[in-house]
Amino acid sequence: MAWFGLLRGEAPPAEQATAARDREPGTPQESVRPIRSVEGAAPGARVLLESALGTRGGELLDLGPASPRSFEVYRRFAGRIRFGDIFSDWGSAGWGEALATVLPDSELKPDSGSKMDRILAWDALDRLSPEGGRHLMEVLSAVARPGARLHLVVRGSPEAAPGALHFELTDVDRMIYELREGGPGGRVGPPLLPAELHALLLPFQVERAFTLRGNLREYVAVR
Amino acid sequence: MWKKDEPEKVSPEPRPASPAPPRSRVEESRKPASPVEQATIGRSIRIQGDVSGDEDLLIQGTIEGNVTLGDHAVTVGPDGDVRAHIRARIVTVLGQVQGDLTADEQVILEASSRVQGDISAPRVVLQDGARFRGRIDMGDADGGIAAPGRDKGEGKARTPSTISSNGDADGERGKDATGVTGTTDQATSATRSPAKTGA
Repeated sequence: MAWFGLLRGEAPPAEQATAARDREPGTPQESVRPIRSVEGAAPGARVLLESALGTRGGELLDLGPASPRSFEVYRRFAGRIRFGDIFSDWGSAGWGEALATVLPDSELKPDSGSKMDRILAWDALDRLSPEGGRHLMEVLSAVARPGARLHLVVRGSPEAAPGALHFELTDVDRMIYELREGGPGGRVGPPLLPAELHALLLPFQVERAFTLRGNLREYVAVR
Repeated sequence: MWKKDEPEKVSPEPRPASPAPPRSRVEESRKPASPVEQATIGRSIRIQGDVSGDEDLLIQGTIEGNVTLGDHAVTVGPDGDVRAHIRARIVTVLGQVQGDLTADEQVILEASSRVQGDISAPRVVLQDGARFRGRIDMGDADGGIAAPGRDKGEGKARTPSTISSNGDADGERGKDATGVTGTTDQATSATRSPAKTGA
């Protein structure tokens, strides 16, 4: 009798199951179906992008694949945009080598003239081992300008996304995220607890955090 | 009899010469549509060294050396493979480039392209499907970089046509995970048809 509910203006059962929920991380989860493809709000992205309005000359780093849609959004805020695409298969190189390609050692030095103002790491920490995550954060800390902001997304539960996600911004505060099964970088470990994440992010400090559709947590941290 | 010595009269009408071989359709199709000259480096050509010139260039082969064509256009075709820097007025990539792209006007990365290097141009077009790793520097030009199918407007971007414009979020007030109350602006419904949660 689902049609009866529809007549009363209720959302279809599938929508009800996946509708947005705001909740504290760590609170009991309702049954959440794994993410396939979602377009939803990305308030953290807005916080990140608008953190330096008026200073369009800054540099933005997106560790994900180059996306025309994200690019369209970024260009409104950043003078230089860098795409890392560190988890895609560009040959035999792993993510570490890819990271070194896009952020060479010369830029990790404190006196390097090229520093990032905004970084979007997406779900990189979910994809990496604890050692990998620490290495990534060391590199990002080295290339981030003081006051730079880091945006990332972590799963709120193991069921939220059984594999790696592909993210694209469609506007300053909206994004699409889709499950990309298989392929390099598709591995995800157990979800990071908030306390683990806070420790891992140092010297970045969490500034804002949000819960997104599909039981993802979106964080903005400041260097 | 005496007529035998008379030189043979030349007909005022020229005799039809032997018919010229017909032009093949392929040849016709290769004729440039515009008077702009364009050189082509064919699929089987491999160049190790720098390339420069004063005309447009289509690269279908492999070049291991810098390509510098000042005021002209360089197109790296679907089979093209360049492992060095390219500098031109317009650079269009359909194949592979491992090196920096510098253009006075624009750089276009088509869907089939695969580029690893830095791009410097006042305008950059990045097609869906293009693979790019590197930095894009738009300089100080305002709104200089454009995504495909977009004008330079700075309005709210709902980029591809697959995204409907009615997807504004409900603007629910929520508590963020740090304990700071903020507007989480969660959407309660997908705004494009394939965007759904669930298996």
